[in-house]
Amino acid sequence: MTRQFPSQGVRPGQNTRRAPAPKGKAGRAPKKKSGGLFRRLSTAMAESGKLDSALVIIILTLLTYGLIMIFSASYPTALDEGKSSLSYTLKQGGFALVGVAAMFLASLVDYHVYRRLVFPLYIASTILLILVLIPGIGSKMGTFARRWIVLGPVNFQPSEVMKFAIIVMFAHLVSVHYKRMNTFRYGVLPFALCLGSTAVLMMKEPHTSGTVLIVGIGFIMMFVGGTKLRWFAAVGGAGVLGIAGIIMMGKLDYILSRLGSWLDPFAEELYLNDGWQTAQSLIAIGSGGIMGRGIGNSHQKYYYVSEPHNDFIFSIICEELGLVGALIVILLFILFALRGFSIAAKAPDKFGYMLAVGLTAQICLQAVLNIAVVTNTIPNTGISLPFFSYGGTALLMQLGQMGILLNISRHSTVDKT
Amino acid sequence: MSNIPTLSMKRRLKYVVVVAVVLAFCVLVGSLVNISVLNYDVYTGYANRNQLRPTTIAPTRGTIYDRNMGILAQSATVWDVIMSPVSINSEEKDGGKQKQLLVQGLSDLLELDPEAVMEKANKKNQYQIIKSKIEKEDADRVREFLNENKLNGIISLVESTKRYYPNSTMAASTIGFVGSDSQGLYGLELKYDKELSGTPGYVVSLKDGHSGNDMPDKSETRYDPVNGNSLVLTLDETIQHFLEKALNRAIIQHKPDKGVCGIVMNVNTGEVLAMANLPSFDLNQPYTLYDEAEKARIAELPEEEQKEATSAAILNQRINKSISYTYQPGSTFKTMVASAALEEGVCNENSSFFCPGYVQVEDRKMKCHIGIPGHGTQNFRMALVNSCNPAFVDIGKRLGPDLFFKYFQAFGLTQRTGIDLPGEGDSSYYNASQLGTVSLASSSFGQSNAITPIQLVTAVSAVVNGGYVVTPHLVKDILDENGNVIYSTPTEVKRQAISEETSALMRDMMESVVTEKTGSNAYVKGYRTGGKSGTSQKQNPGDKEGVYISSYIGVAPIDDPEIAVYVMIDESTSGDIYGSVVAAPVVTSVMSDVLPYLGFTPKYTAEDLETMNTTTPLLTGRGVLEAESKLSAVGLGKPKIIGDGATVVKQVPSVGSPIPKDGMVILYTEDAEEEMVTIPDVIGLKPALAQSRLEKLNLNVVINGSDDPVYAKITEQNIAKDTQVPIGTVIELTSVRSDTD
Repeated sequence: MTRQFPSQGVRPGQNTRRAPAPKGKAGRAPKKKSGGLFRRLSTAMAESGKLDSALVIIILTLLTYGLIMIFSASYPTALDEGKSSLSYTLKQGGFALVGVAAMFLASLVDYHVYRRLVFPLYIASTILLILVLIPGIGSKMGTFARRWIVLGPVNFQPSEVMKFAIIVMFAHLVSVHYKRMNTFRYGVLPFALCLGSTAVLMMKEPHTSGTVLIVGIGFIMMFVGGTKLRWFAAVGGAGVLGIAGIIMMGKLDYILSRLGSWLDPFAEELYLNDGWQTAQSLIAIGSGGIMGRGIGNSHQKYYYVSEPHNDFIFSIICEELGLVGALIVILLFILFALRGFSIAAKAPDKFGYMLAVGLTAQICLQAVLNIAVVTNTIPNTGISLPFFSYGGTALLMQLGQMGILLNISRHSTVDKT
Repeated sequence: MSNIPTLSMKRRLKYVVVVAVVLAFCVLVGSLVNISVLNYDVYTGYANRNQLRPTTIAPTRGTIYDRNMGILAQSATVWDVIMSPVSINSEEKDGGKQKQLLVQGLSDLLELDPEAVMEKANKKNQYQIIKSKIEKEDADRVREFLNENKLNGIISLVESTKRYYPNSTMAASTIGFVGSDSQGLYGLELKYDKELSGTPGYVVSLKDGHSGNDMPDKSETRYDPVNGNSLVLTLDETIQHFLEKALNRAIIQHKPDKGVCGIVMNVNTGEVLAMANLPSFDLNQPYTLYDEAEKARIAELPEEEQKEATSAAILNQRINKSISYTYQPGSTFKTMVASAALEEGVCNENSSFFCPGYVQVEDRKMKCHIGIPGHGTQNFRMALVNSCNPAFVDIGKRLGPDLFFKYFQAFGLTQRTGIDLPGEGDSSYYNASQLGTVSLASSSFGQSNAITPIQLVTAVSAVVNGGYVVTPHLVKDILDENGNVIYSTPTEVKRQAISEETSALMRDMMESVVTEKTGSNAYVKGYRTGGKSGTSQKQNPGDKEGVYISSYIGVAPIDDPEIAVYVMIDESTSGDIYGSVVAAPVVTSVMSDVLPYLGFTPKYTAEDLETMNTTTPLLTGRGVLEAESKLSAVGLGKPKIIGDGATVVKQVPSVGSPIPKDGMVILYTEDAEEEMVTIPDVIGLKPALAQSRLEKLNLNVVINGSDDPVYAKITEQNIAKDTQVPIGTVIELTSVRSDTD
């Protein structure tokens, strides 16, 4: 089946001289605007290709697994707070339902629309990152860092929005400059400016883990996009210098304490403070053994593991379901990665390709970093486990972005059976 | 198509990113395997240490019994009332109704200040002690209140134990007491704490990391406690009672500044049958000061010193003088010197000594207590009977420092006796090389060296028991929680200090001490006893001028000794200071009670029988003639009959009262009125005079103690002067022979 792809020429510019595309969807869009939402949706569905059902199954499996574990991990906390044992689970479940709906809706929205929105999206995200720093607008949510904007009953992290904006921006930049990605001016500078400004703003919150994540995703996209390897070496060097700078700025103690509790979280002087979270996570994982204590039977969720339904949910999975349960989680993420990258590989254009790479890489990187933290493979930093960790808006955004990935799958150049 | 992803992009994704992601996950799998498979044991250990927190189940502390299984100390279950204030319904929920009910109910049931309870109820936590150690009765009422009002989730009754001492003050400093956690703090409770306390049990349950609450629905493992072992003491509650009764009378009579103490010990086994220190304190409230005089003294002090003085006085009142107090024993020590001299052959029974009333030792003139002209010429036996200092200075000189010290050591006076009590005192003494002429001389009549009462009792026991120095002890048996004997203290003979022959001779001579003087205060009717008194002036820094320790140690039966009774009165203020006057009557009183109790049958002399009491038969309801014949049947003379009736309706003394053989019973017939009489003061009179005065008033008189016509005088009357009593009433008098050692 031959498909028609939208031209990149929606924005007049650099690439218009490239092969004039057949009439794309973008071209038809104005007509559709006159119709009702339902009509537009059904038209979109009818016109779209088939979405990747394998990815849908993987996502729904992760999600279900996640909700079950949220229930198991959260009920002691819920009960202790005087709430119903299901209170966290129902809230997260609600977001999951809305999120799945959003995912299917987004899968119907032609992903090229984001390319048109790339600059407004990026600028809006930057403004949000600035706004969140202002006390009164940004909230600390009881932590030490000002990372959240609260809007009535919901709250979100502008950095999550920025993460998406960067993915779209980098997909756009690569698709525009793919020929000159080996140069500094086009292959490094614009990316570096984006990442640099974002990193500076996010470190003001401060939000190290988020910064690491965004920079990581950015690097993966740059690398895939064709940035020369030596620039990464240079950036690595700059990073080392940056760390040296941070140390000079007097954060040495903080960093050393982090390193200390990473190297030996059970050390006597660390166990009850800096090492506690990591140590309790390791105890949960270790005491789960191969088969685990059985679902619902975690001991460590009783106020040993900090926020057992949140960043450390994976250690509760390990304690209750053992190595087996953990391997199933990892296997699901590997399948997700393979499926996501295969969608990228089949994307009809560079923007779709890079977008799919970015979205998939985002989930994978976050999962890897989260599991690496709870297993103390890397020093402790707050990164949630996609589809598992408690957090409504984050889940909603993840599922929405999965919708975009699914939309890219609808445009696959290879037939699916 | 130019817009499709470039080959490089695809290659970089396929060969680098995908591989990297899969590799990263593989590294994580490695991490996981390392943690949950390879280090499973390590982390399970951490988990257990984390989550399994044992709750102790206190074992029941063993009981302390006297030798006849009478309970001296026992633990009972009590309950601590614990409130979890966060579990109380909030104000919003029920307007504070539940809290009000709870506070009111608890403060009424447990007699607490409602405001204090409310303060605890307003706390935001899960653990407030409302009242600790409430007894079963109270606990039951609290439980009922909780059930009725469905408050069980808020209040819990936690088991705990409390130590009870049913005899409160009896043998207090010997038995000792425990602290709030039932840990032994004093006396036998401390010495045998390990035996008594047992091994705690545990409930091992999963606790959360927050407040240590149990995790819900998790099983628990219980390890039962092993209850403490019980002690069966050598103490005999009855003998202890006899001893304390007699000592208390001495306190009343002689008002000693520093109290009294006494020991009753089996001379052959070292079993302590009684050990008392008076004034005592209540073991159930050991941190209260009981001595009224001391309280009054402290009340006079400046306020800022009172607290400290009170604490010091409380510490002081529990001191077990019998084992911890060292003093110069005085003449009681002469028994050891005499034994040594006989054993070494430096003297024999017939050695002669001359006492001019003093002895010149180098530049010192040492007086004999009798004063000039002294005891004159006397043999060895009479030197002991007379307790003659110059004679004993001579005996000590004959022994010389080496032999003197050899026996001092042999009698165990240089070491602690090893009695099973904490806090035994250390004697202070001159050793052989330190004994000069003067110190040897003064040591020979019991001065200069300071020893503890228990050392003296142990040494005198050796003098009379064939020479064997035994280890005194208080614990006879140790029982396990099921009552099986797991340990019996054996008789431990440390050494033989003197031969059986010397010991036999010493017994004979010590009996002479009692029998050689008419009406000796140490004479126990119906029994052969021996003994020795001692009087020592206190000369330590801090001691007042002219204060004395009066002591007496008696042994009975002296022909085959069983028990030693020791009594010491510390700083008598009655004017009497001699051990033979102050302490000997106490020992006599104890022995008159203890010897029959222990089953020794009295063998009365003709003289004894003459002064013996009998008891009145039942006469009321009988005809007058029948009554008269009944009286003569028990050896009593004609009664005084008041009234003209034919039947006896009332008798004085009533049936079963002790009455002297020559006493007169008053009988009333139907129409008679009771005749009353006022008791006069007879204290200080000679016994015969007192008796005649009282008999003139138609009273019956029983005199206990000395009947010496010259030296005895009445020291006590059991009915106070000016009391109205019916005629015929028996009045008991105590008579004591004025004496020296």
